[in-house]
Amino acid sequence: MHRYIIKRLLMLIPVLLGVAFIIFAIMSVAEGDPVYQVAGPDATEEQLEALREEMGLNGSLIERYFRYIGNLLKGDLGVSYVTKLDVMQLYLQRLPNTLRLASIAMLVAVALSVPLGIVAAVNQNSWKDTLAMILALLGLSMPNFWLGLLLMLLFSLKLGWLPSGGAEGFTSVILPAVTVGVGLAALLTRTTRSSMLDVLRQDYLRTARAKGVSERKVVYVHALRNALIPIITIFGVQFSNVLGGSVLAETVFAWPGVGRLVVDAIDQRDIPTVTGALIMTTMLVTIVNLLVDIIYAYVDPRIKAQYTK
Amino acid sequence: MKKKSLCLFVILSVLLALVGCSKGSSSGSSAAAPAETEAAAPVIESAGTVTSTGSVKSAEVDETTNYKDTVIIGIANDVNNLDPQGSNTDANMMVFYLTHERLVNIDPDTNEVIPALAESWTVSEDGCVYDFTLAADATFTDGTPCTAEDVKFTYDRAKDSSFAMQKVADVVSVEAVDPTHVRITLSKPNQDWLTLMAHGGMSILSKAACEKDPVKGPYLGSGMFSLEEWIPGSHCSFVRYDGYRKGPAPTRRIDLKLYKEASTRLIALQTGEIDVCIDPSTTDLQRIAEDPKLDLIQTPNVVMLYMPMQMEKPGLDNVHVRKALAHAMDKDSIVFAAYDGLATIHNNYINRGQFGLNPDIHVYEYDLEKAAAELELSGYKPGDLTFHIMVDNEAKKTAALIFQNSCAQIGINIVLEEMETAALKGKLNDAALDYELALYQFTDDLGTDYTLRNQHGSTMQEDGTLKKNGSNRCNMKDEKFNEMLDAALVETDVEQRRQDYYEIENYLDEICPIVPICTSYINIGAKKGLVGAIWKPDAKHDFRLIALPE
Repeated sequence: MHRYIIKRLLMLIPVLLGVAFIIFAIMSVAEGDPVYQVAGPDATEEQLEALREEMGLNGSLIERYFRYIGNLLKGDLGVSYVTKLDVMQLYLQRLPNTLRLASIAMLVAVALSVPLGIVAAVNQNSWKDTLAMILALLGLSMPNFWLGLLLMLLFSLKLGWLPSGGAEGFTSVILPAVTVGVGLAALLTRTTRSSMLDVLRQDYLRTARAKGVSERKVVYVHALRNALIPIITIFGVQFSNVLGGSVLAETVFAWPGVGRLVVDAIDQRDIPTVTGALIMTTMLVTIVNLLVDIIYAYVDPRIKAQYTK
Repeated sequence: MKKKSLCLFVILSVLLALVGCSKGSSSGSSAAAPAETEAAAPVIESAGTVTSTGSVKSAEVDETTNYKDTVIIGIANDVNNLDPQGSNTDANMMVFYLTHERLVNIDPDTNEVIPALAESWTVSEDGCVYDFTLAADATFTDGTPCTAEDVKFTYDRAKDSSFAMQKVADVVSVEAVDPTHVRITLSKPNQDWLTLMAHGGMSILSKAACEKDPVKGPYLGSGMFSLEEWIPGSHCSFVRYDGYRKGPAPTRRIDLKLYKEASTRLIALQTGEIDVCIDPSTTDLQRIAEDPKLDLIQTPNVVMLYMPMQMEKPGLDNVHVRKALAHAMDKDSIVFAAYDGLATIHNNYINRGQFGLNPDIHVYEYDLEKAAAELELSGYKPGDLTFHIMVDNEAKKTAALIFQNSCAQIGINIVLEEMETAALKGKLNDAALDYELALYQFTDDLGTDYTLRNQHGSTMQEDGTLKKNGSNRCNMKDEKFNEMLDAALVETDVEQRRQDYYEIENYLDEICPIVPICTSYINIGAKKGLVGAIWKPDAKHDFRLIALPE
């Protein structure tokens, strides 16, 4: 198992190198020269050239790429073209907000979806099943920003219970987390339902029932544990997505997260910030995927045995 | 089975209809909708005194009133650079007015140059040597004295800054005579020079701080506030400097908080999370006006929308084609459709409120017959010409679509190119000048000469060729125009100088390098009772004395 984890961590290196190269390639073919964006309107040719060198934009794409990787190995993500601040500092300022939003949004999603999915599966084709699926469809089809604005109008403006924006205090995360969580819950509900339906038809559950095991125990202990693998997979994918930033929710709720950092940097053609933030996010996503794989092993002993081999 | 399928179909249909309806009702039930329907009749209000320069001044601070400790201002655009010589955005400029001082300021009532860090100054007879006397008790917010050496350091540094260098282009030398006296020598007289020195980009920096830390040193100024915390993309907060020589500000802390989404910004104002909402959505103005707890502040701005025509591109190098395009610009429809009626048509080449604005400028009225006639004079036939126009936001896209439709009627094909603001700015600034038309804006508040020289002027190079100046998006290179500008700049007779600028505008009108379109409005929502703020038409508001009663 340990060998597997080390192997996966080592695989992070080519992934990050690849991601960095793709970002470099994309930013270099994007329209407009970033030097003109950073330089003032009156910059002279000499100033433009000096700035190009200072910004590390001189040389071919490959040269720039390897220069960047060299700095990255030293933990240097560069300096933002716009704010002139260290990109790592900018990223680390936003990361706690993103982690907070992502974790609570996932909690909301799981709290809504798992019970709903189980109820739907256990009561297949009943009104409970239909209601659960309608709710899932609603969550899936409601635009994120629209739900956010509705929640804000109700809980901030009408009732005055929760702040409408910002990231100060615990209460500020509730509305954005619910907004993001409801959207995520829809897919998780459907996954939980279909996974539970598959498992509930298995022979070993019939055997358990025949041996007199209570229905509650059959569903929540024997069935749920075996249905968890696809749920964990979807959970992992969704968590990774939210870690990359929930730009709409972050914009609506003025939530200073990584998503907005990247989008704003793209708008301003702030290449070091875009590249640095995406590389850090890639690293995080890879770690989350690794954790998901490790959780698989703990949930399903067969997988653990496979890793041990 | 059929029954079940039918049931499911009915349920899904009802569900989809519900979602569809709720979407519709979201705009219908939220207070935004009524304003939308009334957009044709714009709300024009001003909770404050409108000065002759177009600024709106809130009521003055009353010494007997207790004010809140903190004022929170919801801003639409991020503060992204705290070096006064490192950027020129409106949001950053608002910060520099809080944290720094210039040698001189502009009086918001009269537009005249008034003392700031320099308490007085004299100008030599030839208009080239300025002797400034600095306030003897001026200090930076860390308590260190602000002296002539700091002024010299700032001006020397500006020479190397691509954002500030144009402002000090005429400065030959800066001499720190003694700690409170500085002498600045210009290469030629410049009637607008003091106005340029009042710009936020010419804020005086601490030499010691900048030498110690070149990145964060420029954040230190001698203003009424010092930087407390800056989290880009989130907020920027400032605390009052109690040692300010003219007495401390009425509010201890000012927080500029970024709310990119206009609806959220307004809701935050209504819930009391912020005290000021800069630039609410035009569809929400009625809501602010009707809210008894809020004031709506409006004033026409000096952010001029215009269409530069790259004069070296085939077709656009023909003055009759440019005039045809000018006649095809339906400004009325653009104001109505793109700005909900909240804009003022503009026909001049300099901004409203600037010295020398020609009241009798010839107008290229919207007239497709005249446009077609100009096209005929150009030698091009309908269908011969296709131009690409770059736009970067919805309002400009709407304006471009109106223009496209008009041009189609005279046989000129217009192709829209939508792009991000940064990309558009990059293309306009790119030395390759690979564009034809664009919808862009400028907000020059640096004097008429700077505006005209920057927007249309060019500079002679060592090889005898003319190179366009920084913001000259039309790529106009005209020696006669430059000479006219030079003559106006040194003219000491005010009336003659005014006439000179009238003539320059008339000359530009003949060349038709750009099509001026309109200026829109500054809109602010604020809690009732707010005092001390100066809302400026260039959107670089002054919050130094802002305060809100407890």
